[in-house]
Amino acid sequence: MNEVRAEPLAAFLSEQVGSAVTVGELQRISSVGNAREPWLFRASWDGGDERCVMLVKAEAGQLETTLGPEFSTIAALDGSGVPVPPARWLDEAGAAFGSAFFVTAWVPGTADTRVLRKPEGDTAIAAVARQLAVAAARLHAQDPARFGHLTPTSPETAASDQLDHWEELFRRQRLEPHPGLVYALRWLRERLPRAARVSVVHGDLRFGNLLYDGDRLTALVDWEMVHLGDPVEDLGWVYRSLWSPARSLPFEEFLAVYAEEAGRPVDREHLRWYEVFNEVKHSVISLTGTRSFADRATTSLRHADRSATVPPFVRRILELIMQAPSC
Amino acid sequence: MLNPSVIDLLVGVADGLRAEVLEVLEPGPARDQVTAAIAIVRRVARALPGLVPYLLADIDDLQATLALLGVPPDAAAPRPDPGTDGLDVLIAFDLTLRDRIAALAEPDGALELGAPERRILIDLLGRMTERDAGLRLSPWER
Repeated sequence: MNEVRAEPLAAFLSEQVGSAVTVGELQRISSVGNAREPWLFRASWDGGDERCVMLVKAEAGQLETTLGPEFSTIAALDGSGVPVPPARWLDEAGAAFGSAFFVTAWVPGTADTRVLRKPEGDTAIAAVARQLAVAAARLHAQDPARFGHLTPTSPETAASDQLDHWEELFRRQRLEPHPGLVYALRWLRERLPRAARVSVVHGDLRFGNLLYDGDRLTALVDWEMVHLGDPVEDLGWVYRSLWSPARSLPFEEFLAVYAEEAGRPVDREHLRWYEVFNEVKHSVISLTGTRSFADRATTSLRHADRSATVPPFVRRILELIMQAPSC
Repeated sequence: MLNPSVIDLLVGVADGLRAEVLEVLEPGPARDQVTAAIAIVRRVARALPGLVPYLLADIDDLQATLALLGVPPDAAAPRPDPGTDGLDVLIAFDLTLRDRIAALAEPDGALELGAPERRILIDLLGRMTERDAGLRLSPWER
């Protein structure tokens, strides 16, 4: 990671705005995310003053993604009814200080997930989860033609495109055989579902990747895995046990809110396929982190033994497969 | 040196880092690194006593399952002797067996996977995840 400094950032922003920009209050924000390093600053120029968030692409880690699709998606969603931070500037070439980044306007809210662990649940979180269901349905209702920066797919190939992508990564990144994941990939390949429609899929839609202010959802963030695909993929991710708001709003209620907004029900076996797929996907993300550390592409110790998280994912895969009509 | 034991040593390192280093570090990358290092050291200390029994149980189970599936043992790779072979030999042998199981699970694997074979395979995979949970190397296993 190159050093983030106010002067080159100000020079870059001045070019973008077309007048002299000063950058103040530059500070790193703590984050549990791995792919982007978030910074907060205030940009001021003649006739403008805005609090901004800058997301700097991290060194190799758990994900191999570029910033362009993420930034363009956020920009395309402005005014769509899907809550996103207003997109401002992109430096994909890393011209300002050597690392790629993009800037959005600051949005109030927190991504704190500790409240999800309250045994009795939380009424504010229940309200936010309902708004998340509505936001997901609105996102999935967007016209894919407006997202030409994303790789196209079709209802027939949405599942296999994603499975191909993550299987290729699995075979490249694993440091040991992982027979449980090999079997899961086979199980998925034998049951590829057809998407009801092609949608914009957030790819990491969950608590922790959204901002909320009290009982109000203010923004969906962390779009680094956005793609065109099957909308059910997001539904198979949003209530995984690591970040589930189920203590505040049961999954069935979430799905009911989603189905009402989307105007169609969610098929449970279709959903199961994506639940299994998402356990595989998260496993591969973990394997990629460990591979990056093992290859010294990153020195971040958070990635060092990340593959030790895979067995609980495989346990969940086996539970889901055993509950299916055929295993 | 047998005392302090390797485990006591690792726990002591984690405690020392926490008390003398972590406490004085400001939030930021250095603190994140030390926090992660302490967590890894503690997990390794937690898992270390069970590692050899884990490997031996895994090897026994994998060999028995391969036999149940009618896959002949590899005569060129005899089972290691835990009395004389080191940990690296046990791990390498276990990985060889896991590789053979993974090959069976592949879509183009040598074995036709009917319902009974799938059940045997899934049962094995379930026992493997239980053993992993018992080892407690995962940050999400308590």
